[in-house]
Amino acid sequence: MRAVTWAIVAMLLPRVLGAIPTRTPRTGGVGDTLSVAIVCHDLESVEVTWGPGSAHHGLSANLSLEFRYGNQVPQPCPHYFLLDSVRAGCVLPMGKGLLEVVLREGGGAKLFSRKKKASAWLRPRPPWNVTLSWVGDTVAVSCPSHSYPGLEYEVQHRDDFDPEWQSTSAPFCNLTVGGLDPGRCYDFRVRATPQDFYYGPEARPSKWTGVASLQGVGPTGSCTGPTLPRTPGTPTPPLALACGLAVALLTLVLLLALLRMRRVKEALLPGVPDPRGSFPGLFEKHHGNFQAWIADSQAAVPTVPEQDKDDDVIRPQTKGVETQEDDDVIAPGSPCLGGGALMSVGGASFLMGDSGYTTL
Amino acid sequence: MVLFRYLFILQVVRLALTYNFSNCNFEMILRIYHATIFRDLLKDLNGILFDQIEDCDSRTACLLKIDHHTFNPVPGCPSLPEKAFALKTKAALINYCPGYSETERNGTLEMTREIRNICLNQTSQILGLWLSCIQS
Repeated sequence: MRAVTWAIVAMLLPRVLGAIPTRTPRTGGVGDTLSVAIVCHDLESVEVTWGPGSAHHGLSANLSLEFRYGNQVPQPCPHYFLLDSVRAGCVLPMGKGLLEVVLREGGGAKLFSRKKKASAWLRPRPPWNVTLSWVGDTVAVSCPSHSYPGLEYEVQHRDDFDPEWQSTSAPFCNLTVGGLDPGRCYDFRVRATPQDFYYGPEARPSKWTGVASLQGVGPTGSCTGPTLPRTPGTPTPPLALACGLAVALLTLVLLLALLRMRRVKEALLPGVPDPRGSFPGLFEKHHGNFQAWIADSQAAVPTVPEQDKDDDVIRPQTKGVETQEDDDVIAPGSPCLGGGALMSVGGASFLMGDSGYTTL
Repeated sequence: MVLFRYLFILQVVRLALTYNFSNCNFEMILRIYHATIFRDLLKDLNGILFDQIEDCDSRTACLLKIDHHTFNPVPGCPSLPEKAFALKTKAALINYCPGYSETERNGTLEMTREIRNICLNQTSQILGLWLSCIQS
């Protein structure tokens, strides 16, 4: 009798196992050779992405994906996306019935397969048009609900006194956060979470909305506006702030660099003094011809006293040219000057020779 | 030969008399599923999930399949109808499906040895059917 029972089991077991396959469960990887992630975005499209698992360091060949809903004929992926010129994912349309996804290597060996309702991989988009408003010592949070049921809206808040996020949730995006102090500044953020009893344990929460700061009373300016980002995908306030700070810092660094360059340039290439101030009329009357200017200056010098004649020192008395003190004038016949006349004009001294002059 | 004839007639009558779940209070049954049955299923699965093989597109069809998979033991998992989720499912159907009574089940396979993977797979299928039921 026992043998007959085991014979029946042996006969029936393969049939039952065939009806309900006992594949080992997968949570994203197949034998650690391929890591696959499936996300159903807002019940509108399904994104399948794959990459090398821990046992492989890279995908050597393009994988091909085919899918079908219910009893449809399997179809190839309508839109692959690439990573380093290798297929890394596929976007599928939403459909009815069980979604079966099969990944093959080069169209041959099956590397991965999953079959479930697409909603099992749901990830909603973050709540949008979220508004926060103070009502006494509570904050009312509201936003438009998603177009499909089975979601829970989770609001988190924190303040400087208690930096840990506190959660409040409700099945509709119309909830109240109580026990708040209107004098404090609170941070708020919201997300939508698929309820596990509705979509199963594999569905994932949406991303958080950007953090919004809100204060009921007290000094203004300590909190920013009470409205969260209006459209999903716009930069979050901390990101915008960080970008602004980065730009300001970069501008400051550039300005400092420019200033530093000017100083360096001044140190390496000092400016040539403009002779215009020391030699009045040099450019205006003589177009920079110094010989002509000197000749003109000599002509303007009054008669030199007798006792100075021996010194051969010309002391121009023209307008704007100041007379040098005797201490500043180097006497002719000085051993280092050799022959020639010494002339002092406007603070500069020259040793005049037969064919030119030397600046001292 | 006569025995087979009787068995055939019995099956035809059974099919004709199969409860169709159309008069069930689905709201109450799904509340019970949400409150207790779902948690028991998750606890039994312990994080292990299988591909979903069967689907259903209406609450009536889903309850029919849930009833079938929960209370008809499969080879390799004779204990399934005695699990906590199965007992609560039976209570919910009896209370909120007028005229429902647990039908006579095929017991010939209950002597088979329990295979954990088969029980987990069957439990995963039942969870998938409940999920389809609540979404339909």
